[in-house]
Amino acid sequence: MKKILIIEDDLLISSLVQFRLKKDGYETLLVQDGNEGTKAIDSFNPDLIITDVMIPFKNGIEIIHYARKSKPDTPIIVLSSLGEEEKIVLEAFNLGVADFIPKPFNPNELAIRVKRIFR
Amino acid sequence: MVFCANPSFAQDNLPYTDSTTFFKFLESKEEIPSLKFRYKITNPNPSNDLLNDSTLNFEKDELGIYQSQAFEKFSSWYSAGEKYLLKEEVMLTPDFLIYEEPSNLSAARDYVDNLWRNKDIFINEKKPEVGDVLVILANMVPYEPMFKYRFQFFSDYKLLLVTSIIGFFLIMAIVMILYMIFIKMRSSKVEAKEKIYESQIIGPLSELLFEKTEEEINNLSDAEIFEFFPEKDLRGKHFKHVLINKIISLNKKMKGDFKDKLKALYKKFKLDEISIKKLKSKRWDVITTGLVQINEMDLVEALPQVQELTDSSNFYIRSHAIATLLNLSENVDLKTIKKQSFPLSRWQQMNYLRIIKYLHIQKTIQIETLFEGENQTIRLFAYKLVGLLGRVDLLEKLSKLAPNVSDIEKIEILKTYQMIGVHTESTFINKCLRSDNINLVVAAAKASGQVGDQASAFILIELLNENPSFNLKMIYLDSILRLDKSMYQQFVSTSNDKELNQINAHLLDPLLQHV
Repeated sequence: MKKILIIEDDLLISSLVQFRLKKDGYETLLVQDGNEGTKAIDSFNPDLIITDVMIPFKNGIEIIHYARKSKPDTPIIVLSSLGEEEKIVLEAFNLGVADFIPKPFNPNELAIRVKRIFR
Repeated sequence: MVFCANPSFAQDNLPYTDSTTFFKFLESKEEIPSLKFRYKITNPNPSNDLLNDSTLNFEKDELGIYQSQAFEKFSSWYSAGEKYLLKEEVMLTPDFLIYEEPSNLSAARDYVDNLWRNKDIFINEKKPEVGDVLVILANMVPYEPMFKYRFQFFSDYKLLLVTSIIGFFLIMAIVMILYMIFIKMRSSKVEAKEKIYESQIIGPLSELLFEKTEEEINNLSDAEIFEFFPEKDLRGKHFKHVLINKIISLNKKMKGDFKDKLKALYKKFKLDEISIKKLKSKRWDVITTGLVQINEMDLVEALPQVQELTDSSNFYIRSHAIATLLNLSENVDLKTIKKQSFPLSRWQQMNYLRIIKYLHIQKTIQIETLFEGENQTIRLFAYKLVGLLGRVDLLEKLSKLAPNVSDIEKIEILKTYQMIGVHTESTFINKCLRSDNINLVVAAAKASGQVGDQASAFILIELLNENPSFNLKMIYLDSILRLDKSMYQQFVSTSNDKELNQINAHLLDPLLQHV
């Protein structure tokens, strides 16, 4: 079973994403801040990381940097609002994230993108 | 008739009982008002010593009896005659004078008795020793801690005032701290409750959104809804409040069919009734919250109530009401904005423009209705909209209006002409260049640079010859340069004005052109 780590501070959004991904048979772990996120990357050993950009303690870019060092082959999907943090989003792409999903988004669309990455 | 003296008004007990104690009393008193003492000599042949006593100073009266001078002090009188009284041969007898009238001992005693009873005289108290004084004083002021200070405190109004003010603020501070603690405790309780509700909401809401179609949600019975959310919770005001916030928050972050499902759920849980009810609140913040919820969840049925709030005296209410109306109305006719009696702020204009810009792609918006608005800020907003939305079809109407409007509106129309690039309005622009209003002239000069004609260039040269300020020269020259380069060069080359040469150098410098 593929393992997905979700790093998102909005509990409602992350729970919906978790619910949807669980339905597709993935094992998921939900964390709400950057510190927990970096710890979970090591302990949970995910096959995919879904992270928001603006999260407490460590932002999405720091998470990506950490993941690139710790698990260089783990694909990352970035969730973020379009328009804001443009520089950060561009930096995320430069760091080689697998996909970028702008908010507002459709969880079903996210599930399809996850499926495509695992293929 | 018998008069009975009230014993309480008199000293009944005399301080003497016989002649000895009477004399002691007189000695202790020293002086008795209107009572004097003297001696008289009953011996027909008194000694020369006695007669020559300078203290007693005897004199013979008309009866031939020697009488001493009268003494007011008993002790002086007694000491003066003491040595002679002991000698029997002298035959010295005491004599008393009451109101200068000679009297005997019995009369003098009666007189003193009366004075005593009438409280005209008292027993001389023994003068206390220094130690006694301290004891007496100490007895007079009983030991009471802070007694003296308390007295001073209440008599010193300044001290009392300062202490009262400090006390008042101290009490207020304590009350405020207690109130803050109470509020903090209450909000913590509410937050904790919200977290519990949030965790209760997430699961069932996710299930409804992923497992049910929009149609299925619409057809859900109350019993089926209660399977997802307990009836008790769903009837709770606080739970509903959390549910509203969560659905609206999700609605902002979700797209596609999820948005429709969320809106269907909002109505299914009867949360729309709560949002509409908020419009009737007396608090403006509650009303605006209701308006935001109606706007966010597309509650079209609430538009008649929203319409009523568009001319509210509260800035936030009418701004949100108009924004909601613009967003949700099928036919966006802008009549609501036209009817506004309050001036439109820049913030409101920006907000409405954002909505109108979005709607403009889908629907034709009747901006021309705003041309007839009675409020000047609304007409100005309409002219801006023509330019910002590129509504060339409205230029003809604008052209008819332009000559008859105020200078402020003319300036806005000129900006619109400049923005769209209306080359057919040069006559109007040239007329504005001749205005006495310098702001209108500046706007016309700027517009003429883009949409003026040859005549505009001539007027601008005329204006330059009037030697205006440096800034105006720069605007005029810039416009002439844009209108007719050869005319510009000819004018500059023939001019001796130092400022014009500086401006020319600036305008032609490829690096400074855009500064």
